[in-house]
Amino acid sequence: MLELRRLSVSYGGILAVDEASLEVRPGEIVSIIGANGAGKTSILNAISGIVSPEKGEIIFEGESIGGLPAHTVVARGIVQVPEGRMIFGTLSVEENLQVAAHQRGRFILRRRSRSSLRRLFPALADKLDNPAAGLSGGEAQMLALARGLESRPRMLLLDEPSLGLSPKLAEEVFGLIRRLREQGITILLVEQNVRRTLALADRAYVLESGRITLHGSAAELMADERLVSNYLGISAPEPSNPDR
Amino acid sequence: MIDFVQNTVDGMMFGSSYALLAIGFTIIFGVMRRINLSFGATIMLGAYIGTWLHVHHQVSVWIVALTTLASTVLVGIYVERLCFHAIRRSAVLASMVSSFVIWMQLEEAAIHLLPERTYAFPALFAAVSFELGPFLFRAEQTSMLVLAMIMVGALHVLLYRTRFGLALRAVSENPLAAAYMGINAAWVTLCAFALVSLMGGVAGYAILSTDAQITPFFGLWATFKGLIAMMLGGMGSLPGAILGGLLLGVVEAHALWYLGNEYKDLSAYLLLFGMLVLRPGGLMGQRILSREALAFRRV
Repeated sequence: MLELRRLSVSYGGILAVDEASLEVRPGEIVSIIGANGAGKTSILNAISGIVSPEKGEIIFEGESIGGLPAHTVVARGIVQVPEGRMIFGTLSVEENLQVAAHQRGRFILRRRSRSSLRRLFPALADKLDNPAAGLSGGEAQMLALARGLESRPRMLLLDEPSLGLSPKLAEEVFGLIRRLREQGITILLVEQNVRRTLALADRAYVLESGRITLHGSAAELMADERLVSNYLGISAPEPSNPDR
Repeated sequence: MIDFVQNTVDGMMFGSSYALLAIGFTIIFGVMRRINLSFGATIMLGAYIGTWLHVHHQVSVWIVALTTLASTVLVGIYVERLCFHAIRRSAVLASMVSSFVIWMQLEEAAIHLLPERTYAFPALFAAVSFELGPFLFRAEQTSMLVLAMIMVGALHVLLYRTRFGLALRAVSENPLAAAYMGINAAWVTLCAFALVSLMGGVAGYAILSTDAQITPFFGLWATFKGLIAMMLGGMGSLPGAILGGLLLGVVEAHALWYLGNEYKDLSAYLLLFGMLVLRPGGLMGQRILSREALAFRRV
């Protein structure tokens, strides 16, 4: 579905992503794991057209999308939910959702039905008229996800969706990601929480200083001693994981 | 007392045009976080093209009005392409300087078009007045107020009831987030320039009809009045732009009546100076700033 071929991204001559290649197949959850500054967000931004790749190719559904402007990439079915959520605080919750749907809607805004929202995001359905600035961290993350889905993407790029959330809220977000996959949305996930991510993802790539140094199925990576000691602390992986 | 009310009403009528100019500056400031210094000159050149048609081809006043609006929009798009789209978003100072340079260019163009110092401007409404009780209303000033109210109403519907307005507000708040959501910020910005140029064209046409003459200095004048009204109301606030425009009009009308013509502009500058010292954010600016602070804290 999505393939990166030797993708390089640099900012003002400093290389952030160095010939990274990866593949995401339809219906998969694929994760990119790496330390802060490893280039994870740069890969997502290159895919969604926020930054232009310096070298390499980005192939989505057989067509090259590298270097296309962001609004064209969204129209093709890839939506990124950025790190820090980037909710429009001065707009209402409903307007935040309408913004995302702007490409396929009518010129005159119309109120959306609440029933479809209530199924996945019950917390938001009753706050449609509230200013988004007043939402709690968990609600804001739910709104960011709901807003991403409004454009009906076939592929979601999630950048640190659990950042700054309590363990309980983070668990809700991960549960939601699982449900989105069940609905047929392919997901490329960047997360700090490696253990939880590997429990959720089908496959993962490990990114170090802009280079992909390791990739494999989540189970393989959980068994990899080097990865475990670098990213999960020195303790061995838990024998049974309730998330899977 | 009757004089006071009469002056206040006159001032609000004229101030409604200042409000339209201030809205033009405010919307571009909101979308671009930059001040378009050539906004007044854009309107001036648009009106010059209309006047040129009237002087050389004796077209009707309706054609002059429509040409003024259409060419103001085209000049506005030209300014956007040349000095805002072509210069990177981060280069704030460069585009401010270039908007000043374009101002000079537009003024040159107007002088080449019609080289004499002043020209009569063909008004759509005859200089008639009517009385309502003890008060006197001039037709062209009343139509100015009515036009401005229609424009502000239409703008409100556009901003708060349409997809384009929502996209414009989203880009104003956070251009990067808008890009993630698939909004074409470059297109929204271009449309915003066309929109404010149309509003500026209406304001310019109404003001020039009242003055019944046009000079190349109209660009400078319109930029000054619009900027002062915007800063009185508070940068980036639409209600502020309207309030600032009306306040400027009323203060000028009273200064003209009680102090004389030579104090009219001076009183406007003093008003702005006092506002900047006592309330630097303008009338509505403080509230906007605190709302943004709320947004940053919570989200």
